[in-house]
Amino acid sequence: MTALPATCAEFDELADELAVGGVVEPDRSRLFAHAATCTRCGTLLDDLSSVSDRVLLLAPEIDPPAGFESRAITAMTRGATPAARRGSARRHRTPLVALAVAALVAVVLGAGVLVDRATRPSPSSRSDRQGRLVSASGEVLGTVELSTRPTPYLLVTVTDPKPGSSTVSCELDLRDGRRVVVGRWSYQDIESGVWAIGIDPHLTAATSMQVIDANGDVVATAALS
Amino acid sequence: MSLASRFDRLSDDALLAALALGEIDAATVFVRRWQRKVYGVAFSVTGDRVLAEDVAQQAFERAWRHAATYDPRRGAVSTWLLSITRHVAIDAMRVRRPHPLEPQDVADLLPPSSSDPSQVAEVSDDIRRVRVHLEGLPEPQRRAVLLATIGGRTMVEIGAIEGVPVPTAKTRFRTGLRKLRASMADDASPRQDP
Repeated sequence: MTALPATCAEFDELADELAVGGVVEPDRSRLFAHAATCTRCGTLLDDLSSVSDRVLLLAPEIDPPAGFESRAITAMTRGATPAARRGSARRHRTPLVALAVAALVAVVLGAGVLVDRATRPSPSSRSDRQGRLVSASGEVLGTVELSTRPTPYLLVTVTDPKPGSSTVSCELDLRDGRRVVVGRWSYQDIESGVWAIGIDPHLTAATSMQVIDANGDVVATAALS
Repeated sequence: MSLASRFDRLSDDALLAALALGEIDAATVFVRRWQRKVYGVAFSVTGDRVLAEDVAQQAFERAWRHAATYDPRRGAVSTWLLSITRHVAIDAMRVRRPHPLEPQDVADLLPPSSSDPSQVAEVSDDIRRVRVHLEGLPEPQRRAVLLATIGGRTMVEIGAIEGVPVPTAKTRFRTGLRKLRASMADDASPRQDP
């Protein structure tokens, strides 16, 4: 094969081997370049890759050597991310935060609302805007984070949730002066100290968040930057 | 409840989302959940326990780094992770080529679907469906597909193993994989994680 761009006929001939990693350079790059610009061939490669990946499910399960688990985990998390290395005051909340966001993300992704793959983050980049959640009396209650990745969401953490029967409204202030209600929570909803909700992408540019009680009074605010 | 237990209750998709957030506890659960399968693929392709361990470890490292790129529309977490494993294994084999899965072991990957009902019940619906699709292929095509996918064999190697010219091996593999593509496309059942 020459260094010329691959044709559809060449691609079709080698697509199956390409799907199982059986094509070597420089042909491999030529074929992938063609698939990136040809819808038909790109779809063919996706389909064949998906089929060959599913066949892998039949591979036998084998116990790895002793100690593999700890070595693999150490290797994976070597140079762990900021999300997993926060200070001790925050550390106890992180797993709950991850659970809340992971569950939220899974629900949103499962519904088919996805961000472009190219824009999805490394684990080290999570929050786009954040701020401290402060009560009307000036007490710091927790934190607020807005993120566009892996899908737009609002995350509220409260250090010491207070029991109560009322439901509060969570509202975001936009630059143009609009205020948008994004959700409501009761004590049961935030008892764990974490509340998260998926939001429209444009809301991640909000400048502040207000927590409004049933009487319409602002009970807490967070300036976001 | 321990932190690992909390993560252990997550679905595969949610666990991967936690991984994308850099959660070490999620990584622990992720490795425990998949290490036997990942190591199984790594060993099937490489046929070498030491190399398979390196491959499996690298596969988990890649999963950690690229968890945020996982797209559930393209397949289950299991197939995403095992695909990573196979690619790492094939790359490793290009550098060092021990003895991949023995050809006679390929047949063991596809036991008769009705031979042991209790055993069949243990496998996931997705695995069961893949077996059904494979069983629909003529034996030479099925062997070629299994040798190329799980066995990590090249067309030249498949030709040598099967005692046929390389073009014949390629035709068997190509025809088999495309038949699978057609039959799986007709499989309208929803995706499920094993």
